[in-house]
Amino acid sequence: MLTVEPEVIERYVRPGRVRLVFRDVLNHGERSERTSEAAVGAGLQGQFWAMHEILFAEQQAVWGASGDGLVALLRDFAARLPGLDQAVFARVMRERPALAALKAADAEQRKRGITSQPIFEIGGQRLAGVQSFDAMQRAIETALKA
Amino acid sequence: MTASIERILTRRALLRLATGGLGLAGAARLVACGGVTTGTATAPSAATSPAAAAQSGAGSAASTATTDVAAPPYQGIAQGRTPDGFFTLGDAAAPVALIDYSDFL
Repeated sequence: MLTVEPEVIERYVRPGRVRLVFRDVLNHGERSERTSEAAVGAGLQGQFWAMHEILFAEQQAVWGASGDGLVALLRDFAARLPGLDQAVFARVMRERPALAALKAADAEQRKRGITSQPIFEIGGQRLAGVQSFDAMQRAIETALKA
Repeated sequence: MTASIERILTRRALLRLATGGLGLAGAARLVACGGVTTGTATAPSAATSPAAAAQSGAGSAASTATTDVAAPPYQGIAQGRTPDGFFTLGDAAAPVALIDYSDFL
């Protein structure tokens, strides 16, 4: 989504025509879980979307890390966010209070066929895989007319 | 869990947070306390939202809806959460919801 996301945001989200919802899919084990937890840790402080952008920009670094190194990397990302309470973020990463709910949501989504990523639902339409802006626009315009 | 129960739990949680934090056992009973429904079926299913659980577990009394955005693409756009705790961008009253199922990899 990230490649076309800025245009979707400017054309549809900012004018109030579309609301964007991010739902986590845990297809890559520890890295999926940890990055989603990091996004929650930032999101609790109003910076989910900023962390979302960092995580997508730093995918290579995430793939190269694991275990304590992965957590340290994610804490480095958090440190880039102005005003973020690092102690709160660290506690989310250490105590993992969001993990059970993330897993439960992922399990529920799998029952609805959400087994790969990205998948988009726009109105009643489901689009699987990376989409061009034109494809997203067609789906959005169809939903807006429904 | 009904919306009214959510509100009660949320109020209790915030009170407890204000007086020293909430244990994870309590956090597990919480549900999202922010955001507005998207108007599109997001099929709330998780017994506990990730964000709500983390919020209480982290001892943070942060509000859920905010416009404090650091990254330019989202600057000035309302942020919120779905009833089941997933993060949103844009007007809660927008006629269409675009649900992005993804991870960050």
